Amino acid sequence: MKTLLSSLKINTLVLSLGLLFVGSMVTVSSCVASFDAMSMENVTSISKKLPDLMGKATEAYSKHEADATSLLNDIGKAATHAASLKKNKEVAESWKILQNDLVTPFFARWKEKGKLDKDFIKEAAMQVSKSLDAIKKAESAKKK
Amino acid sequence: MPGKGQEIQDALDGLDNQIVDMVSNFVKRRRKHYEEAAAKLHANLKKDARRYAEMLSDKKITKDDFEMLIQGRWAQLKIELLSEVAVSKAKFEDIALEVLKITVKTLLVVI
Repeated sequence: MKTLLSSLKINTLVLSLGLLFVGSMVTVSSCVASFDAMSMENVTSISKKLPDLMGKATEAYSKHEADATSLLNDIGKAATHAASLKKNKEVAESWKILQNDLVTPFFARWKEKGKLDKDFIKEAAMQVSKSLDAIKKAESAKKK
Repeated sequence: MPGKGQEIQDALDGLDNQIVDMVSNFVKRRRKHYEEAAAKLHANLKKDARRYAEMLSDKKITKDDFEMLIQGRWAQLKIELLSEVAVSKAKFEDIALEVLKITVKTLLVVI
């Protein structure tokens, strides 16, 4: 009987530890948003399209207005999606900065001037590419 | 079972130094990473700002272009810093999990 009780105590302890382990895993993993395929797809897709479109700013804005509007819409959706994920503050904030401080001013200037100079475009596109690389790096660090 | 309780306590106490070393090494590694990342970000920022200034001086861009590029570069820096924070959080999660694993593994061995 004593042995049975002892073994029960051990089993209870093992079970408790198991629960503690699983509970802690859940708590620990909730510190950071987990990997999200849609977020990665958003950043990959926009990284391909956006610098390409910016490179066309030597041409008339009117010719590319539909593409610019569509891409800005995609960035807005990516920002909204990032903000909807829990524990994803840094990435959500990054999308907002990209949208409001980099892409929107560039398209507004392109629209206002009609065409932009290639030297300016090259630098602005580089800023956008590097910012998207940084967002991708943050997405890649999330646990699958 | 009192013997077992003491054994568990001893096993957990024996982990103290190991966990302190693990966390301490992690903090040292992250600090070194932060210092390197900060130096790299600052070097890139200076390089870009100088290039924009030279372009303005060579009249390759206008003053408005220059101001917009500086503001854009500031935005890029903020995004790069936010990315570093996000990556650090993920790394912090790794070390927390390692500490948890080693503790549970030790307890299971003793039990």
